[in-house]
Amino acid sequence: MPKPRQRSESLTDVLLKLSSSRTGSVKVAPWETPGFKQSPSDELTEFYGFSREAIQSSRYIYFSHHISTRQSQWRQIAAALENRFSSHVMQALAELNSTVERQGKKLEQQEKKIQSQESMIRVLQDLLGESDMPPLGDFEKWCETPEAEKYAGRHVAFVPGEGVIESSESLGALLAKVRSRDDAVVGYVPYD
Amino acid sequence: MTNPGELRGFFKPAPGIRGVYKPFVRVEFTTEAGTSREVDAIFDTGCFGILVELETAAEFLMISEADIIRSFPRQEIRGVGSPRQFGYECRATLRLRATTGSSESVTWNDTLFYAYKGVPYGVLIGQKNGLQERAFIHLNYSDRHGRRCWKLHPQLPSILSRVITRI
Repeated sequence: MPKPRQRSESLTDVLLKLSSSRTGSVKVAPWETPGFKQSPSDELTEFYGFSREAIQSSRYIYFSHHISTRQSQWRQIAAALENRFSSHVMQALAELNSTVERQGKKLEQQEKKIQSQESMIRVLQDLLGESDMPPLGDFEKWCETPEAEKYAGRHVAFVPGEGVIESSESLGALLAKVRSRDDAVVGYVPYD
Repeated sequence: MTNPGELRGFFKPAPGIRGVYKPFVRVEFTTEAGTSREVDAIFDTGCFGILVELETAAEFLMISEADIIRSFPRQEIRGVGSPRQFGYECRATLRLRATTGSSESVTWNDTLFYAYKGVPYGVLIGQKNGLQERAFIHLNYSDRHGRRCWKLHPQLPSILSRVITRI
């Protein structure tokens, strides 16, 4: 005689069993019953233990209970999953996480190492005069002296050995002033 | 030694706003009237084109501002504010170098620039005929004096230009 085919357990069945094992009784939520309507009803009153008037007078209570009960369902699902999955899965996930973190730190360290090596090369190139950056001219060197501070933010006409012969906030005006001085370097003095 | 057509230079504190650094370059304009004095310019990657203050352009072209307004074609300058702004189209050969002590320079022949009244600083080198189709790179290091550096490539890397063409 073939055995009668048994209905396989759904997740809801498992959860309800789990719930009854903890509380000792099975309580079916009203939204799981056929014909449930999203409004305060006698079934809801019975389920929550509130009077119909109290539920009707406060939509907040209705909705907050509605949500919190659902959330507790999610908690139950999480608990069920935790029980079902063996601890080695969680362990493997934790190991994977720590590996990713370790790799990230390693990459960071490598990047820092490369940066410091690059800056070391730059310093050495500078010291040996092999820098690929252009050399500073007389004007740029003068801009780094304290004397240049009083011209900060202005365009100046600078003659090496002589100093500033004209200055102006407008480049056009300065060029007009120093038309006759071909030896003057016209430049902007930055703040610093 | 840099590659041909490539230029390296320094950032300097920008005019007007303290704490903001901009890439500076030395630039000289050669027109039919002659070669201008070399001045400081700022590379402005977001700027519409090469903008030269009207008064400064008059000095470069050795003519008056009124003559520029009268004789050069008027063109709208986009992205500098409202109401609509207009500049005057001029052409020149630009010679750029990084510092007054630098022996290396690059030349941009027959370059369009705009003489424009509202340039906040004497000369701005923007996109059109300037940084357009060239690669401006913020070098991720400074020299031993703490100066931040930039690099200008004469053209976009080939892979990048292919992508841009497709877009």
